Amino acid sequence: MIEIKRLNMVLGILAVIILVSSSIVFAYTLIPKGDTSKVLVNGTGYAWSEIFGGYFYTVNFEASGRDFTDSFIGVQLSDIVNDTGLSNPSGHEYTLIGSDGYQSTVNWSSMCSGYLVEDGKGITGDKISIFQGLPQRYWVTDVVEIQVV
Amino acid sequence: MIEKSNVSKAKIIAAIILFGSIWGLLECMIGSVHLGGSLRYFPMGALLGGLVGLGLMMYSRRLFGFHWMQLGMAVVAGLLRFWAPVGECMLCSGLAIMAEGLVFELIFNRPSLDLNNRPELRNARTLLMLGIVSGFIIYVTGYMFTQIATPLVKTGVFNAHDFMANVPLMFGRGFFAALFGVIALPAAVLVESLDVNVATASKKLYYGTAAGMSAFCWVLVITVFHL
Repeated sequence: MIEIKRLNMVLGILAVIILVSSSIVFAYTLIPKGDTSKVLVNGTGYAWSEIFGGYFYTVNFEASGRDFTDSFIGVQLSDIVNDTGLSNPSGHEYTLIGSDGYQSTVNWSSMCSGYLVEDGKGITGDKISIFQGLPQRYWVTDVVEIQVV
Repeated sequence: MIEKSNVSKAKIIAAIILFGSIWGLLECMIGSVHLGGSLRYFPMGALLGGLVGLGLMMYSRRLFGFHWMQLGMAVVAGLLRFWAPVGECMLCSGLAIMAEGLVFELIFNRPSLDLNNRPELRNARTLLMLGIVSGFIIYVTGYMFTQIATPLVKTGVFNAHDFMANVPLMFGRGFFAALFGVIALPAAVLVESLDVNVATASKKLYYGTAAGMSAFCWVLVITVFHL
């Protein structure tokens, strides 16, 4: 059995590695991974003010998150993708990337029931993608890019 | 901290239900809190895994000295968690808690880290470092488990590219769980005022308290989330 002195040394090294590396990585995740004032969709940039400024239709919808069901106002993700002129959108998957680097890939069917929301009402964060029928693990906060896969 | 469990199995089962219910209740209540402003990136799961989960598991290990009891607690907490969410992958949340319990057992059942049988480990310095390591591992494992299980359960497809891209976030948020582990583990093992002799406690008081508090936890969760 490993003696206490040696165990303390191993634990100490592990603890320092964990604290230093995880704090650096956490700080890195706080650096925005794109321009947070707009969303880059299939290479086309849409300013948030443009998305919610009347260029796209906004709709009311209900969605269930981890511990709540609420109504939101948002722009359908499929509308934005269609606006980029992408051909055969149903033949692709879409990776949504947040400013913290979190990403989530969904199919076209989910894009049709997914929305960009400007006001998450304090329970989901702002500028978030919300998908009806998909758990919160798929929702991306502060979306900066939607890649076509 | 008792060296070897001399508590009856019935008392241990009652404790599994009680501690698991308290853990599950806190998971449901604190887990539903969403912080705003600059705190919105604070991972509530790190508080739950690194402080609540780890603290309760280690405290029960201190009182009972019984291996695999903590996995039982996690199962109870996970079952209670099934009752709380609305719309989320309930199965995944519950399973993630159970995964945290399993990881605790795998860490602290090792003879070299068995705090019940190695009194020389029960010092602040060792426990601080062990708290960092175990808090981090338990939280990150639970987080990774959710990231794998949720898409599999909900869509049947696991996207390895998404998972790998999200690893830095899981790893970075583990920093907070490591910090909470620094508090949870030494407190659960060393704070003398938390010491209770469960072996000699009167059966009436013990089972009455355990049953009452467990029932309170379940009734509260069901009332808050379903009524």
